[in-house]
Amino acid sequence: MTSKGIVLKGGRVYDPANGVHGERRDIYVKDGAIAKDGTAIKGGEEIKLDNHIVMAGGIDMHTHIGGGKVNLARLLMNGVSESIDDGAPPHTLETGARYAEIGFTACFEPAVLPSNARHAHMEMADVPFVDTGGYVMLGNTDTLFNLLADNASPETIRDFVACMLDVTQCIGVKVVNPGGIYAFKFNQRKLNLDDKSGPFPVTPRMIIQALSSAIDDLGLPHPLHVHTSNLGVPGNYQTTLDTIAAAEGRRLHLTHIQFHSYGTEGDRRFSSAAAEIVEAVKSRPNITLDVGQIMFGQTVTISGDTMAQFANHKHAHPNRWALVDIECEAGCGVVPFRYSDKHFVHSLQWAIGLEIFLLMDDPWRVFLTTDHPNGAPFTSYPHLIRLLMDRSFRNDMLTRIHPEAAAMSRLASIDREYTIDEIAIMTRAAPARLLGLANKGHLGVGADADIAVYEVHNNPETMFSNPTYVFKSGEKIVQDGSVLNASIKPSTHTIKPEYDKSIKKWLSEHYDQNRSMSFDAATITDDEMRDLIGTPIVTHKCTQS
Amino acid sequence: MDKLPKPQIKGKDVSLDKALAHISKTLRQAHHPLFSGLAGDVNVARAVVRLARASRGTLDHINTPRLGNTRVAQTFGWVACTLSEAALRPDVFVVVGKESLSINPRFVERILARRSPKDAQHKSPHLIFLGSYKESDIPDLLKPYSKEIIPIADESLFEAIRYLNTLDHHPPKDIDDHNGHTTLDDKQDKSTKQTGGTLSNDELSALRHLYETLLNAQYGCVAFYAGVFGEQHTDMGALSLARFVKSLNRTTRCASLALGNNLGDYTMQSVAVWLTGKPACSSFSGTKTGEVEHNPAVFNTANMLAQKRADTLFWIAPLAPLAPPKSNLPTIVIAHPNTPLKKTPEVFIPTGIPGIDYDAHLFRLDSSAALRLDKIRDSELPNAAHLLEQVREQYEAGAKK
Repeated sequence: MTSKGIVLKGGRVYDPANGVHGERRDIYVKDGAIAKDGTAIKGGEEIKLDNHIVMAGGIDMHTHIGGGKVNLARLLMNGVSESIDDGAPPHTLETGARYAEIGFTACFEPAVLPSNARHAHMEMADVPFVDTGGYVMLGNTDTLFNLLADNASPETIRDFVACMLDVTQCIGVKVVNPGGIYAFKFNQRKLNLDDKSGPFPVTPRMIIQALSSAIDDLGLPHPLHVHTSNLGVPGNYQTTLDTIAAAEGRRLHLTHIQFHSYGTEGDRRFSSAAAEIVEAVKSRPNITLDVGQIMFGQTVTISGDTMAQFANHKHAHPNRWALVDIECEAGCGVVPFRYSDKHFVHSLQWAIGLEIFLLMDDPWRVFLTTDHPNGAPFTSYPHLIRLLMDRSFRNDMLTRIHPEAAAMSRLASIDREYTIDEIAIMTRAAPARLLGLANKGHLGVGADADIAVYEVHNNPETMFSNPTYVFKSGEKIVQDGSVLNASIKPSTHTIKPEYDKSIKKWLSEHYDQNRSMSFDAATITDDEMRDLIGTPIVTHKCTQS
Repeated sequence: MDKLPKPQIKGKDVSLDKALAHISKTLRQAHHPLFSGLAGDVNVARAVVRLARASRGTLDHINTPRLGNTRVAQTFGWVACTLSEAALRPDVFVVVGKESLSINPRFVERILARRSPKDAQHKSPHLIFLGSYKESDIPDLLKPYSKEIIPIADESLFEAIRYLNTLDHHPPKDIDDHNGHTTLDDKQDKSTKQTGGTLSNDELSALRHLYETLLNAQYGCVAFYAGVFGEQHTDMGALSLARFVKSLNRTTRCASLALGNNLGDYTMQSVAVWLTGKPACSSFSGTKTGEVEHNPAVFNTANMLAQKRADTLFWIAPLAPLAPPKSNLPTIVIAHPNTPLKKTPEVFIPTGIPGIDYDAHLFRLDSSAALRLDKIRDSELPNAAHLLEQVREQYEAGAKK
């Protein structure tokens, strides 16, 4: 084990962050990290890796793995399915095991509500094998709305953002349907970029601009993580383009972009606007994307976007759904859903996701996600990778979807096949960089020894489904596709920018007047994370890479 | 506490180590341990789930029969709100059943009376009390509020809610159990639609007025304790109410708030769901290791004992002094120091009280937030979570031998 060190000998190493693109290299592991050479590793384990590829552990930068809404989904899916592959949200132990089984070693929960952050971290602390982190949702909080309505200075907004990251132990900031969740509490059923949310003189555009400015000014590695307005609505690509424009050059990460890339062409008034979105993004290096690919089958959609989820409940399959208005700051909607390849819209959604992957020519700016479990469970990643790497397989699959959708998609005309190197970028190197995880996503000296080893196979799905070995912090957690009974203790990744603590006084007063718990009670301390919640924190630096 | 209560084996004081070793031995001899009570904090819940998984045991919380909302979450869902929303947003607030007003001690003060009628900025809600209320039942604190009573006998509340559902001309589709069957007594529901049941004309008219009021509200909130529907209708009452509230959201906003929750029931529920995928009242006794089955009809403590399905009883309740159920099984008690014990158990380890003797987390009644309860005194009484972890380690070490 790590005490004596391990040498991974002779595998083809894909470490794009360090300019290694499939060359044969030896990788040395000692004390949970990548070592410079073998001098410190005497009597350690030597593992011969002829005919294997070696990568850093995968990083899922957007996956719903913990917190109140996930737990509600587990209840609601009772009797519908028992298997993650058939849409049941896994319990925490299964989440960790199944991620490890496909070579992933870090996962980020994108929808942490301030009031539910403690719960989310508790669940994530019970996910074995993988490191975790969360993005705190601030785009529908009455706190931010009050600050904006009072024309608070950019410095105050910055302090607010930094403070909320601190007290919720998160690593990024997310907005979900900016202003829309709040507006739905006032019975508004739609909110465009310049519409006011509820009684506040606050618009989605103001929210995006204020938060993205604060994040850029603070130097957070992760840009504002945006689930834009009008999710799922035909013609919503225009809202997406308008949101990109509203950023005015500031960084935005547009999440599950597939759900926000819909046009209104054709007889059915539903079409792909993937090309328009990609065109806009290509020329703007401030914008990154993850796709939110859908796969056919049963799933359950879990979202903070109560406005969109209420509209979607008509499509619930089976017919049960739950919606909660939460603490004057958020909401959640859980709607089971079955994607069918016989269905025109679902088929086109599938094609739109793939179009975006394949048209985006920069793998550093597009990330592999299914918005687990919303588009599909994360266990479908190997299949998705094959769709990206194997054109003839993709075209075979294209013949199985609804023929009108296939005819409307340009997918058949796209020749591109992702390389292993590009897969390593989009699932390892790029997410680590976008999250500021200096020691992850690569295999340079000093990096965390989170490593996935796959046997070379001409079918990428087979290859990426069955790692020969996975190491987490230098400890072997998977061998020959099976999870081992390892005792590693994963960490929670956080970021803590400096801020003027006087914002806490304002927040305390606001909570006393407008909440059912005090700001102090809502605050999660570092000691609490370690001692009571049960996960040590790793705090990253606030410098953009 | 004057004198630190000691662990006991068969009523005799022993060291903690001896008591733990005896528990581990007892557990190794058990074929089907039942872990019951389960009134604890988050870390106790985590530890007891892990121990039950390791020993193929059964888990059941003392409040299982009253958790009417679990079944709703599993078959239908809801439109609900959390405490801050309930305190600040509704313009109409309905409290269903008399017991709902008192089940959570600070509900009136913290939620119903949160906005003063004199506050011009935050307009206070119009309060409606549905159930066997008399004027004198309304707490003084609520006297200045705009309010009304809709007097319906608590025994008729289930029928009243079903009647409200019939007033909606476009109710949500029938409940689907995923096999195309409607569930939960739907036939009965339809009969009420036709007859109006046993409610008087005055009562029916008052209920129509309630429906109109909620339909015209900007944001209605309907708070209820599922127990008010009586043992026979706990699940169906909660479900019928969820259906009614959902349907109002077609044109306006309305949310339910489920009351109750004590003795750490939602804490145990939340933890069990994230660690196993199923609520407590579940068992790992199936053939496949680690696989859990949830079945409240089978795995509730009364049934487990009556049917002799368990051979060892673990009574885990550090949160409050709760008597273990009557049984002839070897009984291990890891619980509050003042736990009333009619029979001398095999082992009793008095524990610290979560949030008093040690720092702990408990889920709030709306289960939206877990709160940190910092200890208020120094105590040498052990933390039940640590004890259960030690028992598991010893059990697993012994099982490997």
